[in-house]
This record gives sequence, C-alpha cells and structure tokens, in this order.
Amino acid sequence: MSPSRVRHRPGPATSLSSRGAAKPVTYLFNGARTEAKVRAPVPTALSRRAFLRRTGLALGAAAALPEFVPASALGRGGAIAPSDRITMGFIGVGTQGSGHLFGGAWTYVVGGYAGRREVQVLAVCDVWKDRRDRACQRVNAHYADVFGEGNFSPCKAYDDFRQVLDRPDIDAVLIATPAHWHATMAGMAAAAGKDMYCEKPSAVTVREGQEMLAAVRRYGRVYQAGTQQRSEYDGKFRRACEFVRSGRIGKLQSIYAYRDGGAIFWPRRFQPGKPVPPGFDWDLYLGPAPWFPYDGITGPHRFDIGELNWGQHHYDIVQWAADADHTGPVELWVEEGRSCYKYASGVVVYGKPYPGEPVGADGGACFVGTHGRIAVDRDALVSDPPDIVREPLRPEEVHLYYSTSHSGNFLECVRTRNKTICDADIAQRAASALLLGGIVKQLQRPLKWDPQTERFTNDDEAERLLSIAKRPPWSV
Amino acid sequence: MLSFAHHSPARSICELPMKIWLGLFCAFCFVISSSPAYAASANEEARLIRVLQSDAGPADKDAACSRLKRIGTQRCVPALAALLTDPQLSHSARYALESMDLDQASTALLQALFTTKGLERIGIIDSLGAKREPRALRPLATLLDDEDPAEAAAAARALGQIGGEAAAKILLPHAAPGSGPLHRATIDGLLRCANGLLATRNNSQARELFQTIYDEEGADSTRLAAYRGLMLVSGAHGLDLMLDALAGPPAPAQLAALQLVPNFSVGGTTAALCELLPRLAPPLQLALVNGLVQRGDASAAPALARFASTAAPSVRPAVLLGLGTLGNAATAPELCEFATSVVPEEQRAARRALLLLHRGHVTQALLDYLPVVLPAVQTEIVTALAERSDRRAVPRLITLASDKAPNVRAAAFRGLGLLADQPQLETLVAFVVHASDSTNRQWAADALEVAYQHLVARGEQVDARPLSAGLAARSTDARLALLPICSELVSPVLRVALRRALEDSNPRIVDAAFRAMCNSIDTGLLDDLVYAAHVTTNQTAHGLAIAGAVRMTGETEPERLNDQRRVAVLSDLLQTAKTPEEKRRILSGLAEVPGVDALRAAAPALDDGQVQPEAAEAVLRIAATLPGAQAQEGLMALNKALAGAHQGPLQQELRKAINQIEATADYITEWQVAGPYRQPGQNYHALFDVVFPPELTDAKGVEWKYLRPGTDPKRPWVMDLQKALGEQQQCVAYARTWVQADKDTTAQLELGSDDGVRAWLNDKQVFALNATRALTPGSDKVPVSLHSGWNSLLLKITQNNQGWEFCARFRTIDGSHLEGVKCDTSRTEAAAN
Repeated sequence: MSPSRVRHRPGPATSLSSRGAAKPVTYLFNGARTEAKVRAPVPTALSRRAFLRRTGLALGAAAALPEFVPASALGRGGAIAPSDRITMGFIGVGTQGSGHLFGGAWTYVVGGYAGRREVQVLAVCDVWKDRRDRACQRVNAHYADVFGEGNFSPCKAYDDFRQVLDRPDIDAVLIATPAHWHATMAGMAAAAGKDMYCEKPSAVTVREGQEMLAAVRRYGRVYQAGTQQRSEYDGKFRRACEFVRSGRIGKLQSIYAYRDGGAIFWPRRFQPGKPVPPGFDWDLYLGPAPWFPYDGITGPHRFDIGELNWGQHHYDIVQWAADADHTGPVELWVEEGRSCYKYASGVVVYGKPYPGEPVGADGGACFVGTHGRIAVDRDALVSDPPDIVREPLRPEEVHLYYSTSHSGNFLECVRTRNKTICDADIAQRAASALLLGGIVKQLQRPLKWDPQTERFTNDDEAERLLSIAKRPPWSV
Repeated sequence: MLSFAHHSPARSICELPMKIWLGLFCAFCFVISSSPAYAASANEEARLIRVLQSDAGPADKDAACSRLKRIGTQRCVPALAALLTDPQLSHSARYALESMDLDQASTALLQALFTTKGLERIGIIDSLGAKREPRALRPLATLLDDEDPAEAAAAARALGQIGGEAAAKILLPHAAPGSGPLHRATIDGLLRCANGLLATRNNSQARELFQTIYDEEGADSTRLAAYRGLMLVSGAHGLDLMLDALAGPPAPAQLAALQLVPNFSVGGTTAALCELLPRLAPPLQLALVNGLVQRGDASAAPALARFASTAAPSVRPAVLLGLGTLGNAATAPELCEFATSVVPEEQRAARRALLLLHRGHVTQALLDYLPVVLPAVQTEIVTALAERSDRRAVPRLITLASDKAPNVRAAAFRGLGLLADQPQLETLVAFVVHASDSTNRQWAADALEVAYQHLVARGEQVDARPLSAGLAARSTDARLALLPICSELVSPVLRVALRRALEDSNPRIVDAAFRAMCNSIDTGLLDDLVYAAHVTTNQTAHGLAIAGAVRMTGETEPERLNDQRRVAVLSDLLQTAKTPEEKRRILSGLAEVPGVDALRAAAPALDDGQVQPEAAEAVLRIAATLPGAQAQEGLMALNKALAGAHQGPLQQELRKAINQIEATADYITEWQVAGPYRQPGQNYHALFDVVFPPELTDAKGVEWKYLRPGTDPKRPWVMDLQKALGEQQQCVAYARTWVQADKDTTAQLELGSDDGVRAWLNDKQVFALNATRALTPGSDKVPVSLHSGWNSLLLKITQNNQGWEFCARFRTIDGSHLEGVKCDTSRTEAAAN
C-alpha cells in the first residue's frame, strides 16, 4: 500500500488566506429555491479571518525559520576580520561548477557564490580554455558591476588547479571536476591549507576516500560534501531522518535506497585516438586515470559505472537516518541484481525501490519500521500511516543538524571552524557505502565488512577492489 | 561501455577463445567472474601470464593486468614485474601489484625502483607508499636526495605513508625551513608520521614531531596542522594549549583550537571554555558558542544563560539558539522574553530555541509562566506550546480560558485553537454557545475554527457533530459565530445544516449560511452554488455563488472532481455570467484546467471584447498542457488570441508559446510500447545489438501496451519510458506506431533519445546509435521515404540508468512542417501492410 501523499499540502493558514472574505450581501439566494432579503451583513467574518491569518502567519514563520547565520567572521591566518570576504577558487566550471558559481540547480542561492557578498571569487580553473575564460569574464563583469569599476578584474583563469592551490590568498576551493578527480584534489587542497566544498562522489574507491579524510583531518580543514540534501529541499530529508530516528515508524528494519552500488572503471586503452581539440588539456582531464589517447568523450562521469554519480545522495540519507554516519555495512550481497547490505544494528539496506512507492527515486529512500514507513525524496515526504510525518517534531524527539543552505553552512563553518553538516567523516562513510555496493555487484557473492578496520574479512579479491593505483604523479 | 557483471553462464569462461576472453575482460574490473575467484582461476591466471609474456598488443596486456589485479597470485608477479619498466604498461602492472597483499609483489616494486626513472619510478614509489612497505624505507631515503625533485617529493610522501618513528627519522633532516613541492611533501610526510604515532599512542615521539613542525614551519596551514596535533597529543595539557590559543592573538593555533572544540575529550573542557567565553572578542565568542553547542554538553547551559543577556548583538542569537539545544525548563522563561525581542535575529533564535528545549518539565514551566507575563510574551508562550505539540497543556489552557484576566483568556483560547484535539471540540463549542459576551464568543469561535483546520490538515476524520449540535442552539449569536466554521469541513451533516439554515426565518442566519456555503471546501455543495448562480436575480449573490463555485473547482483534489466535470461546471457558469468580473473569474478557473475541453470552453471568449485579455491568458495556459496530437488546435487558439492581443507582455508570451509549439509540433505521441527486455550478463550497451522478439517480423506473443503521452506537462511531446515501465536499468524497450502519408513523400525523421536508439521504417533499419546520453530533441536527423498509405515505425531505446525517454517526428528535409502525415497506433500490422 502506498502512503497517502502530502506534497506541500497547504496548512490551515494557507488555505484560509487564499480564500479571503465574502463581501456583504444585500439580497441572498435562498436554499429553498426562493430569494429572500437580508437585513445586515455579518461583521465578524473579517475579524475572524484577520485573526486566523495572524495566527497562521506566526505559526508559519516559526515553522519555516531559516537557519540562523551569525554575521561575524574569522579571517585568514586566524586574524579576526569580520569584514573579510572568504576568497574562493572554483576548480571545474562546467555545468555543475558554473551552477555553483553563478547560481543554478545546485547552489540554491540566486546568483551563486559569485553573488554572495561574503565571498570574493579570485580564481576559476578548467581544462577547457573557453569555459574558464568565459567564467572568468563573467565573474569579473559581475564584480565590475557590483563595485562600479570597469577595469576591476580580481578573478584569474587557470588551466592547472595546482596554481590555484598555490595561491596563498585563497581560503577555500569548490571542486566540481569529473568524479575521478574529487578525492585527489580534495587531499591536495587540504595539504595546501584550503577549505573545500567538494562535489559527490567524494571518492571513487574506498581507500582514496580514507586518504582524503586523513588529509582533511591532518590539516584541520573544513570540508563540505556536495550532498546538499541534508540542507536543501525544505528540510524534507532532515525531517524524514528525524522521524525515523525518533522511532515514529517503530524499530527501523529496512531501508530501500532506490539506487545501488557504483564504481569507477577505465575504458579499453591503446585504441586509436583523435586529435586533441585546441584549448583542451586532455592530460589534466585524465589526471589519476590511466593515460589513453583522446577519444572525444570528456564528460564529468565518463568513468562512472552503476550509480556512482547519484548514489552518494541516496546513501548519505540512508546513513543519516540509520544513525550510521560513523560506521558502515557488516554484510553485503546481491539480490535481484541490486546490491544490498546490513548494518550491525540489523537494519537491512536494499539498493532498489520500495515496491510500488514512487517517492524516493529522486535522491531519496524509503524507511520501513515495525510500525510504519516513511518515504522521502526531493519532491515529497510521505508516510504510512500518513500521520507519521504530519505531526511536527516534538522537542524530546531527535533533532538533527539544522541547515537550510548547504553553501551557507559551508561558508559559515569556514568562518567558525565548526563541523559542516556533511563533513569529510560523513562523506567518506557515505561514499564507502556506495562503493562497497559497487564491489559486491562486481563479485556477485556475499561479503563481510568490518566497519571499524574498514576491511573485508572474508574475501581477498574484494579487498583488492578497495583501491586503484593512480597514474603518476597523482596521489592523495 | 561495460557494466556490472551478472551471474555467469554455466559454461566456464576459461573455455572461451582467447580473443573473446580478452574482449570480455578488457575493462578495468567489470568482468564476469565465477566464484570463488581463486579456485577457478589457476588456468585463467596461466593464460593471462602467457598474454603478458607474448607479443600481444598493449591493450591486451593492459586488460590482462586488470584481471590479474583481482585473481593474480605470486605466480603472476614476475610477468607483471617485467612491465614495470615499460612506460606504456608500468601503470597497468601497478594496478595488480599495488593491490596484492603479497611480499613478492612488494619485492617486485622494490626491485624496479632503481631500474626506472621519471613517472614510472614515481608510480612505483606511490605504490610502495600505498602498500606501507617497511622494506622501502632505506631505498626511499636515498631518493630524498634525487636530482628529480618530483621523485624526491614522491619519496617523502611515501615515507609518510609508511610512517613510524623510523620514517620520521629519515624525513626530519630534510625538513629544514623552505618552500616548494619537495619541502611541502617532506613536511606532509612528517605530519603523516606524527599523526600515525598519535594513533598508535606513541605520544612522546608524536609530540616532538608536532612541536618541531610548529616551531620551524612558516606556512600557516602547516602550523595549524601541527598545533592541532599538539593539542591532541598533550593530554590534559592539551586543554591549556587550546585555551591559550583561543585567548591569544589571531594565529593558526586559534583556528586549530576552535576546530577541536566539538570533540575535544579532555575532562573539564566545557567548563574551561565557558569560563573563557565572556573574555573573548565577539567573533571568537560566536565561533566558540557554536562549538560548545556541537559538543552537546548540557553543562554549558547555565553559563550560556548568564552570557545571553550580556552578549554582543552579533553573538546573542547563537547563544539563544544554543540554549535551545543545551538548556532546560529553567531556561524557558528567559527564552520567552527574548522571543518578543524587536531584533529579528534574536526573536527567530529564541523562538526556535523554545521548540528545541527538551530537558526538564518545559511545558509545565511555560504554563506556569503564562498567567504572569505581558500579552506579548503570552503570545509567544502559546505559540511555543502549540509548536511543541504537547497536548498535556490542554487541560490547563481550558482552565485558563475562564480566567478573570482577559489577556490570559485570549492567550488560552489561542493555545487551545492550536492544540485542541477531537475530544476538546465539544468543549470549545460549549464555550461559543455559553459565552458571557461577544468577545469571549469570538475568541472561542476562532479557537474552534483553528482546531478544526488543524484536524483537517492532519488528515483526520473530523467529527462535525459537535459543530452541528452547536448550530441547533437557540442563541442566534452562537449560530452566527458557528456557521462560518462549517465552510472548513466536508460533512454531509453540515451540508444538511447549511441548507436548513438557508430556510431560516432570520435573514442574518440565511446570510451567514449562504456565505459559509460560498466559502466551503465541500464539493458536495457545488451543485447548490451552480443552481444559485442560475436562479438568483441578486447580482451580489450571483457573484458570490460564481466565485465560490470557481474556487471550488480549482481547490478540489482530482479524485474528488475530475477535469471533465470542472470544465462542465465552468462552461455552465460562463453561460450565467453577467458581468465582465464574473467572466474573468470563470476564465481564471478554466485556465487552471488542462486539456482540450478547457481550451474549447475558453476560446469563444476571445471574441468577447470585455474579457479578451483574460481569455487569451486562459488559452495561453491551457495550450501549454496539450499533448502533441492536440497541438494544432492549441496553435489555432493561440494565433487567434495573438491577433486580438495588445502589445505587451501577454502578446510576447503568446508569441513565445506559438514558437514553442511550432518548434515541438508534429512530435508523435501515439505509441505502443513493449519491454523491458534484458539478458543476463549483458548491459544496455551490449543489449543494443541483441535481437529481441519485437525486432522479428514474425514475432508472436509480444505484449504491446499503449504508451501514455504528456506525462511531463512541460514537455508533452516526450515519451517517458520510466513512467510507463517503471524505474529500470540495463535493459531495452521497443516503441511502435504507424504513420499515414497521403502520398509518397521524402521526409526527415527527427529523433531524440535517452540513451541509444535504433529505428526501423517499414521493417528496414534506417538509423542506429549506441549512445549514453540525455535526450536532446532532434539530435538525430534521418532522411527517409514514406510511401503512400500506412508506414510502420519501430524504435528500440536502450536504458543505462536514470532517465529513459525518446521523441520522434517527421518533418520536411529542411525541417519544416510536413503536410499530409498522421499517426495511429490502432492500426494492426496487417492493415499497415
């Protein structure tokens, strides 16, 4: 049975305010199919509506309270400088990166980082010359417009991200490169003393995820994974996880993650190549991937297989709801062609949709407990029985990290050095859950995993799939 | 593109010819495997070794390395080792050797260390580091002085990965102050060593390393990392370091200290930080408060509560918010006061804190505070009680609703409205009926209405009987207060009550009942309103009835009122409309209904000069919902609207819509679909070439289903296979239709697909593209010949994952509209021939 849907069902205040008040009537239709005169209008309706609107608005305002973002800042090198902007470099300004930079589906802030007053974009970097030049010109045009100086060009364009990391005046970088680069660049950024927002997947092998995490910890950097569902989409994902962890569906038994494991693969090498187009750095595009001749395919996910691109969104929420941000599976197997696993808590995670439940496909999951179930994705939060998600979270229930802006949370933590909502520890575990699913799908046999030591306990072949040798000179 | 392996067929993979075998295993790791790996792999390994030692090309050898990564034993190590010096295949050999937990693999890497140079050597160094091979310490030490700084930097990094005191001793002499990649790698190696020693509790050695780096390094980022380590390694003294850094001048140490606040485990940390808090500058206070909250230690609450009143304006909201997480019932009154703050940030923070507060008897504390505070604070308390959803407050609120003080009564009624449940409805009705004055009655009625609204919003089966009983009261004032509430509910009982009230002798009751009916959400009253619109001669009542009926058609969920019925009602009302305002209202209702029926109902109003703009607006919105098959009708209406439109935004919108329809016109939306089809061990890419029954002209038993068009209202011309066949991966589906041409015609078939597509026209393949891509309309343009009469069109669409859709249309060779062509899926194949 599918839970009844509550897609943005208007609350009482909304439905009221949409109606307005009826005007006084002099002569009214009579329900007994005759007409009758009325002597006086009823004056109380307006006051009633007004009162309810007031009450409703107060209620709505509290319910939709934005994350409180303090205004002061810690500057570079520890200098306390409230007026300092956070200086940023953008590595990768294709569709995703330019969305972050200028505003788009992933930034959730009009104007993107470039439009934020607390940010100064100093560098853009891309292996495509036309992309980086276009982005650079657009950033500089924006700043010239904002600051009213036509020749004000603070932003520079780079081909090689190492030049961006070498700039001491840059505080933070946003990494939106092809997936096989993410962990390597994040580790190098940490070593260069940069805080970072890094797109998902956070890593393409379990071991490079661990190396990335170690580097971020070693250098004390602020890391935000690009799994923005913890902050965005009106808090649906957070609320779903809060309801699950508060026991609203009873004891959590299983989670349907809708998508299963993912992994990286390298294409067949040594095939005939094509001429590398002018203005494109093929070698830097490949990076830690094995070298092979340019073949005309340069997308951000050309080496992905399975759900490497989207999977971390789902497993990030699975981990959050299962209170498993610090751990991972203990057993993995394949069922109906999809990777599945079990936590030490006994909760089973299926890499497939809950039968008949459409909610969950868009970045979400369906949580099944002893007393009901909850399904969530970017569009909807539903439950069976429906009351489970309709009752607001009570104070004594589990309240999770509250953020309503993923980029805002990152910038705030750059200033305060607090933990971000999707820090490197969380990202590494979510990426591992996804990547371990990729390994079990390759092997098609049950595996046992020790989430403490992060090793397989029963399968040497699986252990070998935890890492891939990088092409020199790249390493995390 | 290869995909994940599926269960292998019964036939042993080792029996396959070499070429096929290598083809299967050409990608890095996604190959069909039998299990367990080693048991079945001895012969396979021998074959792979022979490939490595043969004259096979680098691609075959690379594929063999990929496979040996997974199944190789010590037997294959010599063959792999021989490739380490090969610039083309060194990396391939490292795939395998780096992953093998075998001494022989490490030995091979060590032996190749000094027979290679440049990138090959760097790769080998990286592999030794990744393997944390202790035997590599001495050779790597010699490389620290290598003339190639990149090799030396790789060696320093690898030494750090191997770690331990011995590695640190090798690195330390090379850590003289400096800059550049080698210096950074050396310091990075030392930091790795120090953190490794910290993890293994070799604290004194770790502390010494951290201290050395902190004292001698110039880079902020490195000093920050070193100070972090110093705090972690120094036990109780670490807290002193943290406090010194926080209280000291701005420096990397300060950032390191702040970052450790949430998780620093030394005893007394929270108390010491709370004591330090007031002495810091506001920006640091802010960061520290957030850090204390992330620590989650409630012992910080009293200090934060004291600090709240003296904190700087920029810090106070964070303190208040923190009190919500860490505070208790004793904190509640202070938060209530701050919730009335005129500073928006403070007010928001305090209000949210009141919703988070959960330690102690918070509800009781709020109720105790309610009678003794100013009305503004009472409002905040009531709101907090309601938002906290603690219904234990209800009995006390009922008592307070009879309090002597009017402001307490008002607050109590507001609280009851937000918290009352089914059992309290009768009590609230009684408050209305027996109210001592009009003010109390109004408060009670307001509370009752809000309570009903909340119950409805929660989806509960609301009991309308208390309200119905109240309507039977003798008091006219009580009935007048209760009648408007009827509009909030869907109830046969109330329907009857409202109709009865319309017959009441008191015109005020009739007035209230009629307006409740016009405001009602109950579609069971829709016919009453339509009837009223037809028969009343009173213009105001007529307008109200129309407004109510139009609103009802727009607000009701589809399962309660379908589009056909909406159009029928609105068309009927349009006949009764007397004023332009009424017509506009009805047209606005039609504009919300998708489909050609709504378009046909609205389009005649384009000839009515009084409401032409509103009719054009309605046509514009409805036309956007039409599927491709009805696009021409939409286009005609839009062109008519455009002809009558004045210059301005509406005219531009109409032009845009016309252009858009013309750009996407003629897309075929009449399709049948069969599938999904898949085959074990084959991914979507491979399935492109697998022949499934729909491709066979004599196929029997293929189950063709109607493919519903227009599932995406923004792209009604896109055929969505996910919606039709469910979320699928690694499969294909077929779609077919028949196209009638009135003469032999040369045409262009424009296709778009997610992912690959193969097309047959009259059983002859006309196009094939095995791709992984998102849908782009018209990405493929194929010249074709349509013969006079019916032509069959069959598409095969592959599916990797996520989106699965396609679009197709016939146009002239130059891309314009093709006359004389229509589609029909009801044709049978026999008829088509």
